[in-house]
Amino acid sequence: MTDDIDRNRLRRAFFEDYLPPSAGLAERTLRQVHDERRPDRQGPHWAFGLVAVVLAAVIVATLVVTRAETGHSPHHSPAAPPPGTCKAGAPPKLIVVDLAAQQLTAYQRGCQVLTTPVTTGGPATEESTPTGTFHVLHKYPTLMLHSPWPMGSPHWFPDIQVHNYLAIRDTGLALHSAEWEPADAFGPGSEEGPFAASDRAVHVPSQPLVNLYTWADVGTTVVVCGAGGPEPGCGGL
Amino acid sequence: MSSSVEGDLTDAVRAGDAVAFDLLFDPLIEAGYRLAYVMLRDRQAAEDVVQEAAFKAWRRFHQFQRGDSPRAWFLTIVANECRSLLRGRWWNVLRREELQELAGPDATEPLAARTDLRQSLDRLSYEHRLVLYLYFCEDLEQTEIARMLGVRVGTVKSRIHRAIQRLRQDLGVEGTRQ
Repeated sequence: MTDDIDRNRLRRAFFEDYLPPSAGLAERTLRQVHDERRPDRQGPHWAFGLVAVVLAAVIVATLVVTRAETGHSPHHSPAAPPPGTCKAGAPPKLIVVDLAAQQLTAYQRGCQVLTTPVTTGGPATEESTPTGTFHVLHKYPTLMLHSPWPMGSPHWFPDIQVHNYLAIRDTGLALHSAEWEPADAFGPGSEEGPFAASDRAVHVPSQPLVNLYTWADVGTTVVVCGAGGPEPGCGGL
Repeated sequence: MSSSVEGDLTDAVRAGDAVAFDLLFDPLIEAGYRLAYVMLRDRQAAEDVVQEAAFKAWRRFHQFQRGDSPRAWFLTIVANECRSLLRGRWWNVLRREELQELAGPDATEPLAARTDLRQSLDRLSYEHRLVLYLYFCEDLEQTEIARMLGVRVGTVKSRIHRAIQRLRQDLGVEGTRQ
């Protein structure tokens, strides 16, 4: 190697834009490994293990049959699948908001753990919900919303308190409750109805939002994919 | 950590000693994160990869051979996790979304601010980037890298050589740019 590309220059280039890990990564990682191996440390007992496996299989089969019989439920609580059991390479947690379907789906390691209708900002308007890949930046159990529009604007709204606020952009983009919106108003077409989000946010019905808020971590990826045609992030997921 | 202490710890981990596992792997988590971050350029993904690698290290510890370097062994698992992630459909979907974002006005500045060398590194193949990183940033011996990647030392040498050549071509160094 000559002086043109030396070791130090390479190191600097490799670590451009480097973000150090979040605080406590090692401790968190090792604690999760501890949690995972705890059953082993209690002493392997193959008979109990076998019974547990059979019971789990029966429960899963019952759930599958029930789900097949009752059709697709509008939402359900996130049930954590064991690590590595869903799809290889899938992110540990991912939230996808499909603007065209007005639907939010949460995935854990590629397994769908929650789905719910939502209401976003109206398409092709100033308050439309932007597409893209975001991350949960902050979680607020309650938050007072102030209208970004001046009084007199058709989009203006009075200060209002919302719950389980998942901020995905510092500019106010978020998933949050909308207690004023009737439960049957969410879903396809709602973005063009009277309850469309005026703050470009994603309105999520209260009950699934409680589950989503508890399940999502700061850092969880949120993909918002667009209306008006299939886009990466929605079509194949 | 001396090799005899490492040897004792690996024996203890093999016997199921949780504390020994922590002692052995705690100093390796950050090295694993650095590698994952450099390969993925995404903090959340890098942390996820390190956590998954730690799970695998625990589950597969019986495959670790006494006398091997735990650091190199753990970095191998991390590198394999990164490779799987990059090949996966999920990663491509997410990154495509991000690239579309980068095409917007907000993202022009960060792209322009990156040095030419960094951009050239990003254009290298995964294998070439990995071998350069392990050799120049983690200071691993070529023999150790060869063991990690399951290839011959000659292959490691040629990958390093070719990677540097490609960087030089890309940067137009020594008049090689066409």
